[in-house]
Formats: sequence, structure tokens, C-alpha cells
Amino acid sequence: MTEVPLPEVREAAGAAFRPAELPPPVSPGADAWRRLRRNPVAVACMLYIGLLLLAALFANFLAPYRYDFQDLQRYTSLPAPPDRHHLLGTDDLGQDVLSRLLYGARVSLGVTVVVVGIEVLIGVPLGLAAGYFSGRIDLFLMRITDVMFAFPDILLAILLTAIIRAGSQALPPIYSLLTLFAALGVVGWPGIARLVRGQALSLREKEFMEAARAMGVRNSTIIRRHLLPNLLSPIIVQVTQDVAGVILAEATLSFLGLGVQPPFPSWGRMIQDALPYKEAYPLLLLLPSLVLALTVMAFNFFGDALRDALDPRLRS
Amino acid sequence: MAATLPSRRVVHGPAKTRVKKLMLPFILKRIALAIPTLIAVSFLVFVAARLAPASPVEIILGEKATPEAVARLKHEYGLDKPFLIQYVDYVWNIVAHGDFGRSFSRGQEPISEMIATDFPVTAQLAIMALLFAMVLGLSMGTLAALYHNSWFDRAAMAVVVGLVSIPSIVLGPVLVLFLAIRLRAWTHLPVSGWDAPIYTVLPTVTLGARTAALLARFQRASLLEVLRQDYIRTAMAKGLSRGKAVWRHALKNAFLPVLTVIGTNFGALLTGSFVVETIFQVPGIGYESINSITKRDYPVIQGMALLVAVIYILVNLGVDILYGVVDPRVRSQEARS
Repeated sequence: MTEVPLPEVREAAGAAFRPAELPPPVSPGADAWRRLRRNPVAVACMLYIGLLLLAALFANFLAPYRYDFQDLQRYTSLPAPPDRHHLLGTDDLGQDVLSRLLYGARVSLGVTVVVVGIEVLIGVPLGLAAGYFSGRIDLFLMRITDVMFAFPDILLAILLTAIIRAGSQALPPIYSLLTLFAALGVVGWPGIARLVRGQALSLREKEFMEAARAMGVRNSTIIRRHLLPNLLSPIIVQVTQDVAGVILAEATLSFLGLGVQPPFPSWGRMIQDALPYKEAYPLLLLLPSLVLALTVMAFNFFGDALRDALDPRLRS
Repeated sequence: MAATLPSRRVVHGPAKTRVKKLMLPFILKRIALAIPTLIAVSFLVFVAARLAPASPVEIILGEKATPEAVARLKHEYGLDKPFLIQYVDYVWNIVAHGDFGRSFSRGQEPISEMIATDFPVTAQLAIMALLFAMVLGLSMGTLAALYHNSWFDRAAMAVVVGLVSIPSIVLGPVLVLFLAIRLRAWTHLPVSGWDAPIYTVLPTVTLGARTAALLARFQRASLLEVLRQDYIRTAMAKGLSRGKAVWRHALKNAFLPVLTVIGTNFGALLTGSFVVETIFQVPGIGYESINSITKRDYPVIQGMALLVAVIYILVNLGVDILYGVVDPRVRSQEARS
């Protein structure tokens, strides 16, 4: 007669058989988080990115002035050094540099979130379709990405923004943001589509997928329940690494006068606007430069650390 | 019987004949593969230009133009023809006559003439930046790999990690501020222009820095990988000094993966020159393009973007072919598949 052992008995038996040195099983997410926390560079980057997010979210509370407030009474058309009213000084338009840096974080990260969102919304479904169903969709999609990859980096973004701007000079400045979203989103999705397609292609051949198909699970369910969860970590890694690129692209386009238009603040634009005054007011140039370089660096390092942390081959 | 043999004899012949036999088909196949990409890229550029909210005719004539004037100008620019015909005309004019159309501003100057004066400057800048990046990056990467885990390795990799993340819109102005303005008495570096060799120093460094860092990283990783291989151990076991083993066996093989990095990075150098030329007011195609954007002169940007994209594709094609020439494995894989 068979008797189902009590939970305590089973646990005791399990403990007896489990070697003492093996750690308790952890979920992939918890494991990645533990490894990220142990990496001092990753922790520093996360702290910086956290502060940046706070600055972006609460710029209206943190900034002493509005981004387009001009202190005309105190200043002429020249920039001014820091004083107790303007902790980091003012630019040539009498605008508070600290406030513009803080609001600049909002613009920079806001553009990045939208652009990365567009990339994911276009890239993931197309990549899934190409990788999972293969055939003609795949062939067609890969030809398109080939052409997109044949364009060097931000040249296509420059071309698109330039052309849209060429015909729309009278439009309000908010359209400069929409143009940026469109241009950078269009340029960015093929990277994600390729990644998703490659992963889906190899996952499709795995036994658990075949088992699901053999059991007659519908395609939509297979994609949702089996494919997407397995794709999550490569997509997260790719998106994090893309963030630095998008921030840089926004700053570069704004520097060239093609991105964010005044009065909206952008770090790239602030660097450009500071150039004529770099000799007398170097701080005006160095502050946005420092913030931009630190931000790009933080996302680069964090992306690398996250990739290492999520790499299943490195799991303890 | 004997008549069917010769083709087989070549296959079983000495290795050199076999390799040569595969070379030409390999190159031709690569070129054939690049043609559809070139067509697609030119089409993309053409379509992108048509997305502009205002047509060239509206931009030239303004809003108060008479319908007759609009029709006349449309006819003159060929804009009354079907879309695909316009595209074919555009490409045909470029391929057959080197005619990229005319600029709206600057008195209808042909864009090909602008390219003829501006492109050599951009080419100079890109090539100098590439050479700078190769000399600095490859030597740094090689030394870092040879003295793996030494203080030099660590210092070099720290510099590399920093340089990879510093955008040129930050590096350029900061270099100007410190080298050309603060240390003006010592360096005598000019801030803008392209008049004498000394003018090229700051733009070259700004443009090449990131590529130098990337190359250093790849060269180091690649050389470390090669140094671990058995044939290096064999070479040293048979009495070759470490220096000779590295020089004769390791460096050439380590360079192969780095070659592709150079190819993909040349595109970054070309587009990067748009930014660097703007910072230093270097009169190349990038500076010209950015200037023409403010004048809403988009045929210029269209022509220049197409030019850069085509050069990028051709450079990558060249690297691809070169890769097959120096690495026989690539060709034989190609032939088998």
C-alpha cells in the first residue's frame, strides 16, 4: 500500500539528498539582480540613472525656474556666471542653466522612451513574424533591414529630419519633437527586428516549442506563452544598449539644429549655443557636455553590466 | 574519357590554383549582391525627399506663385512626370552624367560641382581620422594584449572605455577649449577652417578618437584569442622567440576580425564628419549639407546623403572582398554553400 509522504517528510528527505553547498534555487530575475548589485560599476550607473530619472520626472519641482524663463532685468545679451540666484549661471538669453539642464533630462529621456517604444512596437512584432513564420515575410523583412543597415548610423535620421524641416519652418516647436520621434524610430527598429527574428528562429526549433505545437496549441498562444518570455531578456539588453545611442542621436541632431527646437531645452542644443561664448564662459559649455557624456557612459556601462548579468551561461 | 578529366584535375591540383579559381566568382558574387542594395538605398533617399511637406517648386516660388509659373517650373524639374519615371531619371542622370540636380539656393549651382569642391575635404578628413585611429588603436590594442593584465593594459582599457562613450559633440568643443584656447601659447592650434595641415589636427583627433578606442578593444581581444592558439605555442616550441611568433604568425591572423570593424566604422567616420565639420567649420560635404538644411535646400542634402550611403556600401563591399582575399576560409565556405 502506497502512502503519500507528509510535506515535512518530503522536505526532510529532500534536504538529506541536496548537497549542502548548493544555493537554493533562484529565479533568473533575482539572480541577475544579485549579480548587478555585486558589480560596483553597475551600482554607480544605476544610482546616476536613478537620479537622472528623478530629475526628468520632477524637473518642474526641482528646477528653480521654468526652462524658458528669461531673467531679463538682471542680464544683458551675454551669459552670466553663477551667483546666488542662478546657481550655475545663465545663458545668453538670461535663462537659468541649472533649470535647463534639469528640463533637458526630461526632454532627453522623454525622447528616448518614445523612440525606444516605437522601435519595440515595430521591431518586435515584425521580428516575431519573420522568425516564427519564416517564408516570404522573413525574406521581405530581411531585405528591408539590409537596406536600412546599408545606411550609416544617423545619416538617415539627418536626412529625414532635414527633409521634414525643409518644408515646415512655420510649424510650432513641438513638431520638432514629433519629427525626432519619427526619424529616430524609423532608423532604430531594424536592429530589434533582426535580434528578435534570430532568437525566434532558433527558439522555434527547441523541443518545448515542438511539444507545444504537437499538443495543438494555437500559434498566438505559443508566441505569447512560450516565445515572448524567452525573448524578454535579449530584448531588455538590446533596448538598454539602444538607449545610449538614442540619447546621443537626439543630442547630436539637436546640436546640428535638426532636433529639439528652442525654447525646449536639449543638452546637445545647449552645447551648440554655448560655443560662441566658450572662451569667456567655459562653464556654459562644460556643464551640458559633462551631463551628456556621463549619461551616455552610464547607459553604456549599465547595458554591458545588464547583458552580463542576464547571460544564462554566467549564472551561478 | 580523358576529355572529362581536366576540370577535375584543377580541383585536385595544387592549393594555389584552387584558391585562384575561387577568387573571381567570389568577387563577382559580392558585387552582384551589392547592386540591389545600391538600388534600394537610392530609392529610399529619393522617396525620403518626396516626403517633404513642401515641394521644391513651392519653396522656390513661395506661396503667391501663379499656377502657370508653378506648372512651368514643375515641367522644368520633371515633377509632372510619373513618380517612378522621376526616380529613374534621377538615378540615370547621376550614373550617366554625374548630375545630382541643382541647388535651390546658391544661384542654382549644380550639386555635382559642390560635391567636386567639398568631397575631397571630407575624404581627407575621414581618411586622416581612419589612419589616426588605426595607428593609435592598433598599437594600443597590440601592446595591451602583449602585456595582458599589466598596468599598461589596465590604463589603456580605462582610456578606451572612456573614449567610446564620449560623443564628438562633447570631445570637439572640449578639445578646442583646452588645447586651442587655454593652451594657445603652446599649441598654436587653429579653431576652425581647413587651410593648412595644422588645421587638420583637432578635427582628425575628434573624429578618430572613438574609432581608435573601438579598434584598440577589438585588436586586444583578437590578438589575445590568437595568442592562445596551438600554432603559436608550436611556433614558440620550435624555438621562435615570442616577438617573432607574434610578428610572423599572430598579428596577421589577429588583424582579420579587426578588418571588418574598420569597414563598419568607416561609415561612422563619414557621418561623424557631418558633426565634426560643423564643429570646426571644415568646408566638406557635411558642413555644406547642414548649411543647406537651414536654407531648406534639400536636393543638396539628398545628393550628399546618397553619395555617403553609396560610398559606405562600396567601402563595405571592398572590405568584404578583401576579407575573402586574405582569408581563404571565407571563400571556400562561400563556394560550398
